[in-house]
Amino acid sequence: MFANHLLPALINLPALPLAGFWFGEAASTGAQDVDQLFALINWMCLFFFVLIIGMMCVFLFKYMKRDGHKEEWSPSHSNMLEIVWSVIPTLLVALLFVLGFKGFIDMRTPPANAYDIGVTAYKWRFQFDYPNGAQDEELHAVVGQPVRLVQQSNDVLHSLYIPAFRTKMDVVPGRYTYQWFEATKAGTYDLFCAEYCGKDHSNMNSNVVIHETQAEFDAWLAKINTPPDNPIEWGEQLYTRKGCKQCHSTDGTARPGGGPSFQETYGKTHQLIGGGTVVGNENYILDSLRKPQSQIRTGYKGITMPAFPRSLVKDKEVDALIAFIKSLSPDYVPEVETVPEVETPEEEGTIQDEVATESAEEPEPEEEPEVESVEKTDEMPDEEPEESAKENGETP
Amino acid sequence: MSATTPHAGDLHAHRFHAHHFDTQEQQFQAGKLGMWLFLATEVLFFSGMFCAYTIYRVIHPEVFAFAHQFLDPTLGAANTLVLLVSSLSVAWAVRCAQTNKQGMLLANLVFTVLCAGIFMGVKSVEYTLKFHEGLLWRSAYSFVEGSHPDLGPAHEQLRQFGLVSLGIGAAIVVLGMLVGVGLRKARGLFLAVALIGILVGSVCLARAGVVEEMTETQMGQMLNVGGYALAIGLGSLITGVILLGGENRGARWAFFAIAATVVGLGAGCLAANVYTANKEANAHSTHAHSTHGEAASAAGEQHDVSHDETHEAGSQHRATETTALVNEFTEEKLLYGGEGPKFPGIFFSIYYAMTGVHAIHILCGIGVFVWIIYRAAAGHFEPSYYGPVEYVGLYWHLVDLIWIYLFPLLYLIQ
Amino acid sequence: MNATADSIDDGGNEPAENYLNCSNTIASWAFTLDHKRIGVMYLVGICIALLLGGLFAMAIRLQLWMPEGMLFDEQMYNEIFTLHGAIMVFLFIIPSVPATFGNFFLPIMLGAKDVAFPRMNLASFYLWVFGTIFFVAAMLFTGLDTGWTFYTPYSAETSKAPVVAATMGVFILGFSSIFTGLNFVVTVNTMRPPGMTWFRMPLFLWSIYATGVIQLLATPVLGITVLLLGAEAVFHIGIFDPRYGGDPVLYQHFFWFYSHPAVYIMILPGMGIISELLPVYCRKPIFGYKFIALSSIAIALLGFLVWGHHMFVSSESTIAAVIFSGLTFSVSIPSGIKVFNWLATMYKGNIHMNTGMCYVMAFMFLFTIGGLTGLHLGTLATDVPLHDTYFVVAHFHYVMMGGALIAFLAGIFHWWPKMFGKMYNEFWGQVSAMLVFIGFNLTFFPQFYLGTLGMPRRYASYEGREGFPISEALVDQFTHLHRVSTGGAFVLATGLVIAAAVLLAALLWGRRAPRNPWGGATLEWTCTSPPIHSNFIDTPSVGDPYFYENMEWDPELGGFKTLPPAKPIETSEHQPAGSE
Repeated sequence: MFANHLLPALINLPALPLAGFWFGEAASTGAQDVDQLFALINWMCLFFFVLIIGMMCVFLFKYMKRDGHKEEWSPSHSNMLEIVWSVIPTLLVALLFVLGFKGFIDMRTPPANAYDIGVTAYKWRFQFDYPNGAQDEELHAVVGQPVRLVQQSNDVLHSLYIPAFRTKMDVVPGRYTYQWFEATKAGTYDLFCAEYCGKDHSNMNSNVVIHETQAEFDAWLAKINTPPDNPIEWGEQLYTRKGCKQCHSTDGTARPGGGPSFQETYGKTHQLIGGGTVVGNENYILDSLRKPQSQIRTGYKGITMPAFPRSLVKDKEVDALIAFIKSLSPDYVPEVETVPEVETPEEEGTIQDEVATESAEEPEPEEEPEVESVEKTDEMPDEEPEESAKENGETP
Repeated sequence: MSATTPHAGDLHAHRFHAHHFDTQEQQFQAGKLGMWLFLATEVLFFSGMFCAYTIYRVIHPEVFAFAHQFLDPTLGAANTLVLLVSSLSVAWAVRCAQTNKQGMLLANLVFTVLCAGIFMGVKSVEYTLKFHEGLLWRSAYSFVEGSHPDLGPAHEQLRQFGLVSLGIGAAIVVLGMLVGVGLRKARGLFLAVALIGILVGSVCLARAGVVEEMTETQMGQMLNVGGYALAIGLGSLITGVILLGGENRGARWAFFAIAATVVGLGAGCLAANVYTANKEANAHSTHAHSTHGEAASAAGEQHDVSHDETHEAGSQHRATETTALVNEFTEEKLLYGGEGPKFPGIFFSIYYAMTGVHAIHILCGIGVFVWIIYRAAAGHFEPSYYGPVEYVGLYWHLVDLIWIYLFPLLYLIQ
Repeated sequence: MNATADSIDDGGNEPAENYLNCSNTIASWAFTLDHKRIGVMYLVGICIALLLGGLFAMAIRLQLWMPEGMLFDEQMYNEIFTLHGAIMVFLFIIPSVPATFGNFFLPIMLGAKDVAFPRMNLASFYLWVFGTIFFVAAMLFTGLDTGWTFYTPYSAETSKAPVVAATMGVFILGFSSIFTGLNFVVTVNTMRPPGMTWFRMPLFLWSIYATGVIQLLATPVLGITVLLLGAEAVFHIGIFDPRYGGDPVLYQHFFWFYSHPAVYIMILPGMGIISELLPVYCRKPIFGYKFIALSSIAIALLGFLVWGHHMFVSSESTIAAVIFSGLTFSVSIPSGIKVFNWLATMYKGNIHMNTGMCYVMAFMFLFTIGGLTGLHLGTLATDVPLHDTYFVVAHFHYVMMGGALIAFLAGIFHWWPKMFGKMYNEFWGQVSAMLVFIGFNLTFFPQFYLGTLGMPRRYASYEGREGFPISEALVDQFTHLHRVSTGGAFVLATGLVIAAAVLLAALLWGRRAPRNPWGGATLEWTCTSPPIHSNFIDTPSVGDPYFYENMEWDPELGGFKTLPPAKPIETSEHQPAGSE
């Protein structure tokens, strides 16, 4: 009771300015609780700090060595004092423990009506999977709607951190982790990866966009879920959204520490590390995406591109990316030579067919982009289609 | 029992009385407390692995049930017995030192290293057999019923390990040389260290170079033969170094101790080889198929699933199952796995980690015993000064005790 | 070192020969079994480590001057913060106080001639040297970028060579630490002379004893953890790496089971130094001796039960988090007891504001902030947003650096005259203390604010990535705060350089130190400055370590002398003790 009602009332007034100074904007229901507790601890700390340092300073000035001053006798132990300064702090920290515990349980217990959004973390970005199958790099939600994030990692430890909501949870490979929030204000907030995950850890941030109304959110969801008809346009979107942009330029320059430019990719013959060459065709792009370590071009030694399995880039999206990369090639002649849009799907179709014959589990690319990633039970190993694709690539 | 204190009345300064201790009693107590504390650190050191064992046994009980059947309880029991006997002999040795029975002291100590040698011999046979069958740690596990396992990854990893060891050996050599050249006083010591570094390094190099081209049978022979060669070579080397220092009793006995270890090693190796050969012959005559028929069928449904998949995946034995949580990993994964339930290799990871670290402790124990035998033969120990014997005895009891836990936990599951 | 030898005998009342000049060859240092020489060698070693770690710290601070990172690319930055953390933790803070002052003063304060196992002591030093060379070389040449915590699976997947080499280095350093701790525990247990009862031991010894216990019980677990990690990197044994069925959170449990107690390996000796210095400079017996002594032991034991508080958001179970949070608060009580007892010691004292005392006051201030901000992090609900942000960085720097390093500096200024027989310049010593104090707060206080605003740790830049910039207002705030911090770091570095200069200048030009310049009552002040090889000329008589009433300032000596009733005044009759 004390903890439930009286205490917040007690600390509410002085708490807010102090918390407001420390933390940034509070934009979720949980954030306010955290801020209040933080402010309470601050007051407590301030009290003890002033007490200790104040006494230290007073003693320092009062008993500083000077002419005529001599130390005086005083008792060198006092059980009473020891008990006082053991018991009072014990009680206070016990209070903190209880409050922190309560708040923590709230943070760990999502409401029953929470809206699930899947999170897949990989080096070095988050991908959000919405229940209707849409995927995006930004986290979108609606004011007043509790959201539960179901997190999984594709490679190493990450941690999804939204300062404005005061929530954070590690994303651990090999298991699902959860966190939830309920936004109270529309707006755009920062989202960080807080667990060190390698080279581009500091670039693994994103945005949280909170929509004012459900309709607005639905519209966004629908938009994100319907790719543009033109595969090149779609590929260009994916180029940004899937993070290719971070390492691959489109103007022929190689980014420092990144991979080859997309302009230099299609229709050229590339030297590989360890000898051999590869022709920059559709299979090469597919391989580079699904199994990037299998063929590294000379000049890019030691640069490890993460692999993008189906859960991250669907087959249809690969088609679009290939179309986009093709369009960047200097030899590419747009529109006039009749419809690359037609040509591309045709070529991809052959690959798709072969893949499909090998695996019955292959989701039909045409109809539903993918089941919700959380429930995916796709057991099919990545190697098989790639191997077939590689063989394909070697024969011509 | 063996922990009787030295004669308190012994007031004259003993020749091994360190100047910074007030009394010899104090010196003895300090040494003993030091050893007990060291044993505490050892217990905590192993506790990490026991903890890992517990956790994985809880998570994957089926793996332990399946995999432990590849361990031979008879060999394990034999080793347990050997260690228990050696524990007895070392306790007896302490008693002999207290009662000034110099002959029995030496005999007991040499018998102890002989037992240690036997233990290592049996262990080497066990390791070799497992290597043949691909019963290896998680990523190299490639056991397949009735066919040759794929030892490629194991070889590759061992090669890398050899290279890393070579690097470390080289670092020791360089450091030893530098210091040894700079300082006259300890030149001999550092040169010895450097020599050992070179030896370890070259063995590693030889292994690293040779490993890839060998078939697994040759590999096994190499392991055995290499083991002998290394032990005998090192032994004679150290002996040579010691004997050069002067014709004394301690050096001779140190040589005997090393010889006893090598003899024990050979005897253990031989006995275990004969035993397993017999066992296999028997199994072949009864079961036309193989020794591990029961083991494989005990694995249950999960085994069958992965079995099928293994065949699908072809000669590389790539297990296609992932964790229960269905996690796709992006990097090229070396998910090697042979037959058995999911992740049978984890059992062997733990097995090799625990028994391997234990074996390193046995080796250290042998080294320390050689030193103790050297001192005992030189007549250093007597009722008023026997601390080192007791401390090493305590260490040996702990190593023994750890095996007493390892044996049932690894060999006698269910 | 030999520069000090010239002026030793001009006072006439001290033996000409001491532990520094009793033999001069390199081998007499390299193979010395004298705990004092080993302590001095450790001091040189860890100061080099501190310098190295400090340079990397400055590199980090400069990098963060600009939101996009001023000096390095991400990879380089990651390697640098790994180097900074690993060097500071494993090579500097953990051995700092125990291996230098512990080695030098533990036997002397106890009244013993040496530690129980002098050869093991020397071995500990060489293991440290070897481990250090190995560790630093491995990190520099192979580009270790896992952070000092080596979290799996990143450490098991990226590259084998650096991880294997670094774990080997940590393993070796762990042995060094175990040897030191074992030596101290055995020495205190078995080598106390008659009259030195447990509760007559100086508090520094209590804290070193507690530290030794932690080193013994925690370090082996780190040893097995790094061995398994090395095996994971090479053999993929599937214990820690989820790709092979292992559990990355298990690694964190193992790692923090060592590394949380290691925090107390770092801070307990520091607290011991403060407990030792404060009564001397206040001329008052320590208040609540038994409570301070036993709180050291309590911290050592409770420290083993709280490792899980590093993992509140690591998907550790909720119930585990709650239990660890509760236990975490329990550790704050003994620490609080110490602080209050220190305060009470000052009451009605006669406070001498020497350089040592300036550092003690700085410690009290900084450690109080460090300890109190621990409450924000121990409280579950507030830890969640603060975990892995700069708030944590600031917190542990306040405790580790504001605590352990400042205490180390306090100790070095306090004992320098005893160790090397030279007095340093008080004025510049106090200037250094002032600069360090101001610089420290400027560097790290803004980081609390950075953390609450949401700046995560281990970021090479803070402008966000292309297409997803961090909001401008936030970047502005981050930039300002980081710049204050970087500026402060330069003030701090200046202070440390001045401190080093003051001490080194003392070696060359300092006036000869009297036996007891500060009026301490512990046994080391009855030795000559510097002590002779066998520490004591006569067997020391053990008295109350905090009884100052029989001492008097003697301007002629430039130090304190003990008045007749308790002990004879030091005389010139002492023979040069050539006892070897």
